[in-house]
Amino acid sequence: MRIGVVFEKGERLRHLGHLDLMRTMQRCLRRSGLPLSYSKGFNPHILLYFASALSVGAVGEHEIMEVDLDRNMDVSQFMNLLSVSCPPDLRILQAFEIREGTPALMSLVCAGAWRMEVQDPVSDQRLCGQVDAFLAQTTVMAMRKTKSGEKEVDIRPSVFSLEYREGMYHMVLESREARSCKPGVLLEAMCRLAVMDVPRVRLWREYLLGERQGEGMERLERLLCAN
Amino acid sequence: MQMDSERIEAMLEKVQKAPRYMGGEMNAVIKPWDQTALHYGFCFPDTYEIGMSHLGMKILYGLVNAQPDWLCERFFMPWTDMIALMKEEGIPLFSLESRKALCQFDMIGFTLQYEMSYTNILAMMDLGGVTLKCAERKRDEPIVVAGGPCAFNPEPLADFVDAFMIGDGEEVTLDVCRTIQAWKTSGQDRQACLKALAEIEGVYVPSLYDVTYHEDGTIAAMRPNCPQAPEKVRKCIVTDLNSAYYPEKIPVPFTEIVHDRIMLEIMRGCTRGCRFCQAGILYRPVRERSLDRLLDLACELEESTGYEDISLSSLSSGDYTCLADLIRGLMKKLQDRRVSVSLPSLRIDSVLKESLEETQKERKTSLTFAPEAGTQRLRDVINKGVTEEDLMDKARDAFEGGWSSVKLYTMIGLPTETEEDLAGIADLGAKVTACYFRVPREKRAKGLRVVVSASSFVPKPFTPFQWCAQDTQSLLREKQEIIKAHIRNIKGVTFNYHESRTSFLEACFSRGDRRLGSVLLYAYQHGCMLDSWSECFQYDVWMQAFEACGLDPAFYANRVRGRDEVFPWDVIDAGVTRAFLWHEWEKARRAEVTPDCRQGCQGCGIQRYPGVCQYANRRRV
Ligand code: SF4
Repeated sequence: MRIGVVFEKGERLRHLGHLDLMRTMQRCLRRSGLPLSYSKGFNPHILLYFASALSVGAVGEHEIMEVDLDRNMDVSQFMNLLSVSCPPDLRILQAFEIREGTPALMSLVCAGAWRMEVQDPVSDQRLCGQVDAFLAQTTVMAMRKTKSGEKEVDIRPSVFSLEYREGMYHMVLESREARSCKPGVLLEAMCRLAVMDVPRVRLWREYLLGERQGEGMERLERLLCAN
Repeated sequence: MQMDSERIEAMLEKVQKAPRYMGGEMNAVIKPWDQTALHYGFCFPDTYEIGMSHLGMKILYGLVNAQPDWLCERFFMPWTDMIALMKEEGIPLFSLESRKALCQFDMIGFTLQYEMSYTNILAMMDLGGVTLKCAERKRDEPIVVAGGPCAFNPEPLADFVDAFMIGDGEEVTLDVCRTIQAWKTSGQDRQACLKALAEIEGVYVPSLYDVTYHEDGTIAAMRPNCPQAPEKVRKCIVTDLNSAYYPEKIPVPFTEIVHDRIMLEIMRGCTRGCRFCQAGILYRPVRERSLDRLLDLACELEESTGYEDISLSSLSSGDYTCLADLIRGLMKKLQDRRVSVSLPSLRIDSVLKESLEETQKERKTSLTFAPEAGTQRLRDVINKGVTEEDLMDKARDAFEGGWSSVKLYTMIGLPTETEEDLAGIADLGAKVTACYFRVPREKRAKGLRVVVSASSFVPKPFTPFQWCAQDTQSLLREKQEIIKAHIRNIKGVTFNYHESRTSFLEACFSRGDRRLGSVLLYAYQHGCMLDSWSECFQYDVWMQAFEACGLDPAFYANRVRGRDEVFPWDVIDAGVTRAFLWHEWEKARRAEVTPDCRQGCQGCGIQRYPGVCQYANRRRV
């Protein structure tokens, strides 16, 4: 049985990297006593898949992972068992069955919704004035790290939306294997436009967006549930 | 002082390895500060990754927190980048749980695992807003206590630690906490607290003793200066490990630490009597946990942590009476949960071939053997009851069992060592290599790797070698070169050796007296800390410190001590008598071995306490 889990990587765990988070989640799952499926082979590991890696420094408000079980069980029972096995700042928010035949979560993700706060007010002042100027551009070149090194790409099409509201930058950024724009890359690009140093920021990933063929974007958990 | 969480967050954004300082781990204990009557700050004077790997910390943390009325929170030594930030921001050292400053706790306890962590103790107190010197601490500052193996010679830390707990901590810790809790609300001065602590068995309060010296610098006498302080402080011994506290939940770090697994202490103590080994004496007598208790604990811990790995911990796990049953039992119970079992400190003469085969099912890492010395004569001197034949048998078993990587641990600078012994070390490497090639090609794993490593011997208190001089650094370096030259010609063997400067300082502090407090303070104030990290170790500053304080390090490290010299640690009764140790030293010089306690009691002194040692007073065979 495939189960989708929505969880929160809380404020205190902001500085946890993806590998540490994966290891932690594996131990939470092991503690839970759930009938987990393991990979075959010499070094068996839990079948656990994160929809999208979250970088060090960011809080994740609705992160999504898939856990595979050896047998069917009630999702609310699943949720209870897993919830009590997690440390306080890792909260399980929702669990649901993923229909067989659903593609891997990673391939469904197309974007992330982010919130960003610039720490010092002076930089914030300067930066928020750049939002409209940024959006007015048709191309914005930036370096993107890929497996084979750095490559210059146009990030403008990957910035689906960008808005400054009540002291926060709200943005929806593309996040696909082939094309993506990380918040840090966008920030750097904006700072280049404003001719200013890159300030310290805090980041929250609010939720992930998925896309079904031919239809528009939708929150990933909703898309998976409806499936 | 209320810690500003926002400012801590801002610091964590800038430091390397922020999870070290983050807290919030699974099974970390959070208790309401205002509703607990005693606040205990547990301090491990090294980094998070090292401290969190330490079993004793987990036992004491669990033990104190198991008392509903008390709270225990953790502190570790921050790395240099964090220290700089904390100073810049004016943020004191804070606990991982509720982020309270060290100075807000009623008591703080340091665990003393190695001498090279002593400057970290000063650094942590300093960062935490605690006055460094006992004599200058104010009424409302924490009572500073310390325990662990190095507490058996507490004197170098006498200026900084109010009270030491000697021996097994499970019971004495509770007594000490109770006393401090009662004192906290009593309105009495610190002195009253220290005197009350001195009355607890197993507690040593250095300020209640006066030391006088001979003209040559050796100690004339060390005497109590108040009626509460005993002539000798007897170490605490937990007689029954089965009923002793053992945590069923331990904090599980988010980030990788050195020993990232469940550690199951299967027994305490060791019956073998290696003469260089301080732990072997300090933890006497040997006590085992029962098979049933261990299997229960293993399951509890596995369920509460989710760890995928469990290791057996003790000085000599191979000697555990039902080792094969234990391993089989663990495998059976934990197999479905895919937990692997590893045996860390295998002695070369004690491993059942069968259990080797059982553990290897899970994984194959490198095997470690500790012959310690290169010739039979020298192994007899140190009473390491291992023969070359044993070593070769075990090496062959290991190679046939599919291992191809072997580490050989040895020491240089042992008493009576000659050039032949050094050549012998290289020779062992050669013979192990030959042993590998004798195993048919299709039966052995590829990629032979033999690492011979040599550490410099440090004479320790409460061992038969406590009277010996440590070799000078130049001699130790010469010896390293000799071995290196021998090993250069052997294919497949690499040679590793440790920096002799660190061993030299270790030798000074392990048998040092309270005058070294000034050296420690000077070194710390001139930038020494994190000394066990080679990138931070500042040997020259240490030498300056000795000079500035008018003390000669060679006096502590390289001097042969007289049979009747008063030692700084004579105030401690470690159970084993000085007469026994001297007798062992004499036998060592004749290269005469002493049998294992299991073959008959050797009369080490522990037998004076009835019912403590299971092997005591048995007829000799
Ligand atoms: S009392 Fe006897 S048997 Fe017990 S540890 Fe000492 S020598 Fe060994």
